Amino acid sequence: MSSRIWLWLGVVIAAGLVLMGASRLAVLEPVENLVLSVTSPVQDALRDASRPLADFLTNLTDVNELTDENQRLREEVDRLTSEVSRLRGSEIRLQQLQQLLQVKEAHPEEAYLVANVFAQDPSNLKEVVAIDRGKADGVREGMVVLTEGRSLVGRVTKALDDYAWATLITDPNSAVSAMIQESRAQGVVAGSHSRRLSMEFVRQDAPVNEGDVVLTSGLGGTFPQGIVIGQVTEVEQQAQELFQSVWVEPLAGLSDLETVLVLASFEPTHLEAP
Amino acid sequence: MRYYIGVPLVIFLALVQTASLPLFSLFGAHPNLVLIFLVSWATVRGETEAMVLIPVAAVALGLLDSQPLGLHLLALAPLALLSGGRQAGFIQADYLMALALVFAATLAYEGIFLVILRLTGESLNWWGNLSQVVIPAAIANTLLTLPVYWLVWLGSADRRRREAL
Repeated sequence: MSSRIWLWLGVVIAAGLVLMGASRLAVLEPVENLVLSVTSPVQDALRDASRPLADFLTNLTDVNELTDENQRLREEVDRLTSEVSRLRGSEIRLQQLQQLLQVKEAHPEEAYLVANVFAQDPSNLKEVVAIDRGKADGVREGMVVLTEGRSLVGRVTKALDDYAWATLITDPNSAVSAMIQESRAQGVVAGSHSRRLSMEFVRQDAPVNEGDVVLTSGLGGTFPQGIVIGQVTEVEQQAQELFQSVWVEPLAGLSDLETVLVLASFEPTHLEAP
Repeated sequence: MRYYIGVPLVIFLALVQTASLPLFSLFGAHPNLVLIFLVSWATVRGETEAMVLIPVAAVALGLLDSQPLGLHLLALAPLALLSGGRQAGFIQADYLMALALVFAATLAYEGIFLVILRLTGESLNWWGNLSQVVIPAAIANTLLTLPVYWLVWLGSADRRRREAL
């Protein structure tokens, strides 16, 4: 192999390391923001143009009808389940408050920012989407991202001036403190490489059933309490294990997000270990 | 067909890669069109041109996705080494060489990606990543190589004429 290639390789690796360093210091954020400003309409158009083909390949039979119907039904289920869950959650919470404190908690006004998803990180190792709202709109790192039906999508992990990147709950590095709505059993909903959600650290004696609704528990302060994550699809208990294996189907259609809500009124807390 | 086509084309493919490819998956992995294209280009047209296109593609991808700029540069760099190895002539047919190179290049790309993510503080499940991401991605990319290779070969009549002389 020629020395030219080795020289090229050395230069490229050096440039790569310098760029990575600059990127971590956020020196290049204005450039990234500018590039996304210029390319986001093109990416949007490409994404829209590709969607029918992607749908076609996903459903090889009765393509459009099934996909449209599935989309409509999913949105309906999303909306209704969120509504039912919200009402159930409110009822339980109200009972608890009436019993324990005899006072009604005043809910603060929640503020949302509507954002469009125009790109997705192409890496197979990450589940991250780009949205067309950024720091200029009030988006900050750590803010929670929801579907229009108010089920959990993820949270903002990188905010540029006009755009932001949101890490989905299915990302292998995502972890959300969660609880089963019915039994209040606690756990952590984690993403995986197979893009499935599992609920970890659920005690063996905690009652969990298929179909149970999984909500954010609010522990840790990263997510607000009571947001719907999904429904339990599979529960496995093994006597020798400390915890149950619980699989969760996210309520949000995370593979084809178009519009999302950024919960601007919630500020995540960063707790320091004592 | 040289840089005046190759450079815009690779930038366009980087846009397609970030905008459209995440909607498609094969064996649970998103195909890496940019990587397939670069290997096909290097196989058909030689590594000299690929050595220009690889940094362009890497910077374009870095500016369009959420990863630190420079990560793609490091992950795609071994492509030039691999395509340089093509001159050793282990495999005679170029399209078979392209298939083997895409498989190897995907393993190298995803492997370097994993190592850098780990070094930058992300927690990783190595076996899970290997079995559920790296290997399926390598198979998916290899299966999609032939059409891309064929298109690059068709568009390289200038090169074939020069080689025939």
